[in-house]
Amino acid sequence: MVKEILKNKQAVIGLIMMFIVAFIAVFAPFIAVNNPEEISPAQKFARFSGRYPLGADQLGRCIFSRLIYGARYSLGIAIPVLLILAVISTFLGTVSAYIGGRFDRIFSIFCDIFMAFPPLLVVLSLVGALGQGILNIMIAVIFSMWVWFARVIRSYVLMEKKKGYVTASKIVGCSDIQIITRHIIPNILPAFIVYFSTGVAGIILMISGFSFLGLGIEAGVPEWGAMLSSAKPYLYSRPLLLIYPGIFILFTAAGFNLFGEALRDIISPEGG
Amino acid sequence: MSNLLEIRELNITLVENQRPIVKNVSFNVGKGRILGIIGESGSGKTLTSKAIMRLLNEKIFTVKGQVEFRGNNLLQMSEREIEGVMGKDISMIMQNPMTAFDPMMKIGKQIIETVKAHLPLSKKQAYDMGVQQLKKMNLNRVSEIMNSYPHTLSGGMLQRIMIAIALLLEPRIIIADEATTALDVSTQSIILDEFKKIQDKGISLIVVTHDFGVIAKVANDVIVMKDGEIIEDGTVHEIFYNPKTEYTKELLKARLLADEVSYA
Amino acid sequence: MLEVKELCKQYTGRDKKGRKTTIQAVDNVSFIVERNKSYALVGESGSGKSTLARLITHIEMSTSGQIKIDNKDMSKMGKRELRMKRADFQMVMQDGQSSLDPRIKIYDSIAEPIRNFSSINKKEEKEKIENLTQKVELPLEVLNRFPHELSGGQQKRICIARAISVRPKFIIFDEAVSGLDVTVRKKILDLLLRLRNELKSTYFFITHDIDVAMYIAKNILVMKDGQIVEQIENIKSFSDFKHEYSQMLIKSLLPKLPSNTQRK
Repeated sequence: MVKEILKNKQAVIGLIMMFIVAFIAVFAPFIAVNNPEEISPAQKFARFSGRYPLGADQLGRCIFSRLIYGARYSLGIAIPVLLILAVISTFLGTVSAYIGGRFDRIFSIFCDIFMAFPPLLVVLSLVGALGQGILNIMIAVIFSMWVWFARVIRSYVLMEKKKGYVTASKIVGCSDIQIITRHIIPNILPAFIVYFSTGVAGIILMISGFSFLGLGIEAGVPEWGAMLSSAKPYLYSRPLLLIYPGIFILFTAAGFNLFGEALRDIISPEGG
Repeated sequence: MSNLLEIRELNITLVENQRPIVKNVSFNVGKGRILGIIGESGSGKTLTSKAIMRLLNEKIFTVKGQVEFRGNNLLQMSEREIEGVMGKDISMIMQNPMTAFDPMMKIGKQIIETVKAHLPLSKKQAYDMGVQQLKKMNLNRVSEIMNSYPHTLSGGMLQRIMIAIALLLEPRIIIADEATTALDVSTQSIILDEFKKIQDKGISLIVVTHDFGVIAKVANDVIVMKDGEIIEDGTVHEIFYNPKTEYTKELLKARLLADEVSYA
Repeated sequence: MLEVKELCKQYTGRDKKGRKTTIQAVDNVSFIVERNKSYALVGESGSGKSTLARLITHIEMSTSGQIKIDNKDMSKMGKRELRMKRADFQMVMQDGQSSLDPRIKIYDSIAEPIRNFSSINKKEEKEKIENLTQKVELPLEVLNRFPHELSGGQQKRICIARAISVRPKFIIFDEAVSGLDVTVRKKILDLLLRLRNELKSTYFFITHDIDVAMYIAKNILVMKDGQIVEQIENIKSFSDFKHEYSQMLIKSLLPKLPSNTQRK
């Protein structure tokens, strides 16, 4: 499988993009030239210079450094959110599909009810109730998204459960837990990875979107969506203030998406 | 004996790595005779029949050789010319009838469209023709069938409908590729009897199968294929009573029939 | 050893108009399986024979009726007891490839029942697995491969090795040789006959093929529309079949030799 990924151009490009963003996030302190939160009113809207590679924003903060640190926020929120989502939805989706019958039907109805509310609405009301803060936005995103992921996992498990080897494992005396952990989960893992790597892109966009709307992340934090939001008034006079974070969001989301989509093609070449 | 179809030096190779899959296959199909092609999986029997029908994807397979049908080499005809021959003069009945039908279209409509594509008939005439032909296939409640979607019918019924469609255009040759393999024995028996009736009308058949029982029941001539080559050919009696190659003997021996059974 | 009493299985579904319909897949089936005899259950598609296999192995629950193993009601067994009982009751399914987990190497697939039902150390386990592989006449290299790298016949042999690894008293073969090439089928049937003498297991062979049934078993049950229509002990020839459905099946069998009219 690793070989096939390296052969696929789209996957390699996606992988490189992901790697660049991850590199930036990890080594942000070494790449950034200034403290991203340092305000210097004298440098308001400074032009490109050695000190400010991409200039300064309306409060005289170094745009370049803010963008670099922004990678930490994007990945730092999206990846933990995704891991928690993965654990919750895999557990619920697998258990529901495996037990089946009435339990599964009730779970499905519950999911349907949940899915009737758009994620945005759920997040809005949760952030409203919990208040601002990175942790709260993470909770809100998990709460609004788990059902979508759980549904997908459930459908993978339902498909897998019908296959002959599951019956065969029962016959050779495997317990239900053995069947789930040794047979079903390893077999849905590839599809699962594809779904989650495209999911990262969605979550990054979602979080940037929420912070653009002023939800969850406090003003002044160098998060890309928040940067976009605070640059809004300068759309006509300083469009670059909006374009830079926009490019970073696009780049990151595109990287994960390209990789995820390529992975999907590799795993199901018949295009299912 | 006049030959209806003559296959000369048919070679099929994989485009990807030039690996030959069917090697120097030559045989004739006599007018009004049933030719059985027998072989196990990987013998190239299905590819051979598909090559005759020009059904192989040119991007995957290179087909060389001659398939002479009424003075024309089918392999060198243009797409348009081929469309005129296929269905009209040469029909195919496939192993899996489910995939041969459009799942979203009622049987009646599919029959009418097939007939109208080749014959200058009105919708009503085509429909009546279809109904008559289905009745001949031992199918009951024909108008109900005409009004159903493929997935609501059983495999045996679909197979019979496919044969009916193949017969509607009164072709000269029908190629049946493992057409009865997936069917119950009782349905298989009905369909093989139908093949013999088709033969009585002077139509030739190529019956591709892995089962010597099918050959024993319907074929006049037999070719035995293994690994892409014809290893033995002859009339059905020569093959059964006097097989020359070890492989044919092994195939014959692999049948499980109890000896004392007599068949009508 | 196994007693099936008035076993029924219904499926409820909805028809096109949304009305509830029930299908009686297994309808009031009773029979007894005695130790060291061989049984075959013959039926066409839709006869309910596979459902019956799944009921006996408790993969599915019956709607009513009883299945007794060694005079113990299966439905009264606890989950754990039932799981351990599976060591006595093995099943080989139709599709070899799908019965093997595609991501697990052959070695571990064969090891699975051994690990589940016994506690032996790694060295004994390895010895046992290699021994089993030889018993099903496969080279030891296959142990290091994945299921899709093997041929259909090899996969089937692995499934057999898996089933016999725990020395079961009873093995159900659900269409276990259909879909294989005839020569491969013959070899596998002969292998099973040899293994039976060695293992002293009781075979319960489910098949649509009367030839296969007669080849492998002395006691034959014929199933149709969920019911057992005929049960014959110690069958000697086709003339032992009395029920008209069985006779129809026999009449549909393909001939062993070509008829004289084909000679031309």
